Amino acid sequence: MQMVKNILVIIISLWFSIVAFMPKEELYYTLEHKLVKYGIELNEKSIKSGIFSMDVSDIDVYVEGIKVAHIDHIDFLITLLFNTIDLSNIQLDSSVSSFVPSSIKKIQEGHIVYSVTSPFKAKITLNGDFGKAQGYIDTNRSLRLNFIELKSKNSFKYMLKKDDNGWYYETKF
Amino acid sequence: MITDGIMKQNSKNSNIKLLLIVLIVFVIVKALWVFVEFKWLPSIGIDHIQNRDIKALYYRVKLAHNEHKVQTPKQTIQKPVSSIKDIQLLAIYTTQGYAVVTVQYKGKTKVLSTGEEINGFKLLSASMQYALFAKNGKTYKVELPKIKDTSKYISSISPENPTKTNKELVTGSDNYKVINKDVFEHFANNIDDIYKNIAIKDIKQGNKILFKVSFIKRGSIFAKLGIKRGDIIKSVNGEEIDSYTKAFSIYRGIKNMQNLTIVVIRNNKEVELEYEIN
Repeated sequence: MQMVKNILVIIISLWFSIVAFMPKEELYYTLEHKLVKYGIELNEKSIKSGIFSMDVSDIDVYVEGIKVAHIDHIDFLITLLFNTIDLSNIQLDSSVSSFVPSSIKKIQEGHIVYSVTSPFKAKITLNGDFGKAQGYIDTNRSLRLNFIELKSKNSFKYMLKKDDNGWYYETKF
Repeated sequence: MITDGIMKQNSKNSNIKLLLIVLIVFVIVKALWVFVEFKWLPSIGIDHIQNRDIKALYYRVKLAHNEHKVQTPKQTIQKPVSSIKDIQLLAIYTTQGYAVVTVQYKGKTKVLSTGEEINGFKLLSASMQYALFAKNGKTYKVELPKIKDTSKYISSISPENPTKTNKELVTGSDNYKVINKDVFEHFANNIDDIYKNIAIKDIKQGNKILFKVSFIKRGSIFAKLGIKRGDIIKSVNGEEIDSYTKAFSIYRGIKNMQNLTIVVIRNNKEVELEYEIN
């Protein structure tokens, strides 16, 4: 019994130390450096990291030098077994907002969940002017969003497809 | 009693031992993270540097009258002594000390840059309205055709309803059209109206993205612009459109354009569509 207790304590302390001592800011910078290879730059105003979380605020997103969006907050929750990324107020920049349908100019909430229970997929939930969408992004570099509520599809339905479950958007990158 | 004391002592010892192990785990993990941090992870992020040197869009044709006088640096050019009628000037692109013109000579069009010749006439320079050629020590001036009364050769198309104006929205021949500026600005500011009339699909081809017109509403302004279903947009004002970035870049500057040249691939052939925004 003592042995089991000892092993449990060691495992928990190992998990805790890995998460708590994780250099989160540096890992975020690594993400920034990786994204630059794809022409994406993130410019944030501040990063606050906690034991299990990290809050990045006022992020400008540039794609190949052009500012495309502003995100108020990105909150990371890292527990290794269950990780989430919450994005709030994604607003397309005025320079490109005229390029996309008005209904997808603003996304109030974005929620990405990665869990060890489905190691090859990250679930995505989006809530924006267009309505609500749920979907996933997987290791085959494919993205699928099922629109569970669609407020205005006319302006961007050319991007969508329809099956028995309703309208969906699918792409590979 | 002695046994209890020994057991308590053992338990205390094992707890201290466990605590020590936990501390050691903490120290090792921290040390590993520090090593990883110093060895592989960057300590600073990437700051975007705003590129202020925005490339000017290719200015292909200047057929409209200039409402605002543009100040150009004075050039000391030999005064032209005569004009040449065989060469018809179709389009001018000028930048500091460099000019590219499109001319028609004996029914054929040719693009010339500064220093190049056509029928012995060497292109010296160009302004917004004319080009200067030299031959046998003489200088010749060729002017752009003035379009005062477009109705003589431009057929009119009746307006439809994207805006409330009764002005003609698009006028022109097959290869050259004049777009009403109000309508142009309306679509530049209301992308939803564009998507109701036209759909453009992106097609990946290696590293490039091709933009193909997959739908065009019959009778819409876009149909009148001469764009057809199946057209692949190759370039706009000389800028090849093969990525979203370039498409964004073009669209951002579209409001300031006075002329537009779109090259599309139609039935495996390049078709050039010229527009003047007026």
